[in-house]
Amino acid sequence: MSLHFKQLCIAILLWNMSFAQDEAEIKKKKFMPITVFQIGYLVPTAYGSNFLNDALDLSNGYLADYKLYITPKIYVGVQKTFFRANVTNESLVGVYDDSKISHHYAQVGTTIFPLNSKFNILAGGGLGYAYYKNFQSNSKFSDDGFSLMGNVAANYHFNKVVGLFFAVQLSKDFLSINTAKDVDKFLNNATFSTFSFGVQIKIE
Amino acid sequence: MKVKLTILLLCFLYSCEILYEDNERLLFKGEIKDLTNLPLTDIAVEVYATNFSISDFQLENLSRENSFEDINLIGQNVSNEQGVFNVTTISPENEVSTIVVINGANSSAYVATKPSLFYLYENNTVNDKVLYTLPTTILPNKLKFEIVVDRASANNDTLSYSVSYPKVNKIQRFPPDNQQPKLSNFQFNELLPNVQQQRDTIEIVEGDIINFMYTLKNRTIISSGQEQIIPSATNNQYVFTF
Repeated sequence: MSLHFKQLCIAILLWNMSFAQDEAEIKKKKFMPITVFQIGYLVPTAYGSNFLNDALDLSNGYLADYKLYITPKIYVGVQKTFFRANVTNESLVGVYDDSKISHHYAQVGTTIFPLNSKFNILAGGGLGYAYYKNFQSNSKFSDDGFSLMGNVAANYHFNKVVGLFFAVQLSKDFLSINTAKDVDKFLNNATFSTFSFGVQIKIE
Repeated sequence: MKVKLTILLLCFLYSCEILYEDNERLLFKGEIKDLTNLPLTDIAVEVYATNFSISDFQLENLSRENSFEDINLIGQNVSNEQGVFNVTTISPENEVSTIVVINGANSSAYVATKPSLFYLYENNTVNDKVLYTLPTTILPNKLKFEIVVDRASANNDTLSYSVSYPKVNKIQRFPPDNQQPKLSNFQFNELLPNVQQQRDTIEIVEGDIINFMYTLKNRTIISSGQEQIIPSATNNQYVFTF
């Protein structure tokens, strides 16, 4: 084997090795999914002509939220909200005492600033399940249906892990209550917003 | 033994409890007018459900406070300016009787000058639909009506008489039955020879008929008869002279 051929083989090997190093660096820089948990206090307000606004008095509740960032800007996740309501106008909804109202959403959204920013703004939406557990004396019954929501949130991180969040969310419930046509729309549609704030934890 | 008794008691209590349908509300609609066909505003309408056959006494004493008897108020409203009412109720699942009470005596909006009216759905008839349209309800005025029995001369006859008339509060059953109205009043009196006059005041609804039956005796029956009286706002007294 001539000296020239040996030199050529070594050059090709070195060239290949340099490629392998670049690939490793790229792999190192590739985005890994990030998880964000939120727990917060929730203040609901109902709107429009529907049973939730006209016949129920809403109490404050809580929110639990899980987001998984699949890209630096896009997240998917789930959210649960819960609050109570007392019946204040029995002539509109029937005679019962109160309701426990919960929502479970599958959500998707995006951030405006890069994920590692101290301050960030998010916008998202979701489709979910609305569940109203109603109580009358010793009896209980329930109503359910699906729900749509859209939200805007802001968060501030003190460090890489812990932060605070504030969110405004608009939800619309489409319940499946079987009733007379005269009151169908009033009893089956509910529009409400929630203002929530709390703590969030980011796990990278 | 105690455990068994407790379980039996719990089972019994559970069986008494009224259960409600998920995802269902009922609507009871109707109209309330007076005798001159004018709409009556702010008349209370309440809907109750029971899981047993309700008695007339319980019917006349319905109130939301008697829930321990498993008579539950499930909906309430008042008539609007057009006399129309819409009562949305939760939907009982195991009820036996459902009662719509118009102007119930224990309602906060009770109008004392008007009678109460009970629409009674029996034998679990409120289950197959969500809209119940009631017939137009006529609520006449309550009247105080005086019956005066007067001895014209100083005779020694004895007058036995009875007054029967429908009760102020009325029941209408669904499905309708052909029975005579259960709520009726009956009074029996005698005017002995030493009594000159007897006055009785009864409470009746305008338009109802009073049956006055009498027998005049003096050892043997001298005469007997029957009168039908229709009270009204201008006719609130009946005088029988013998």
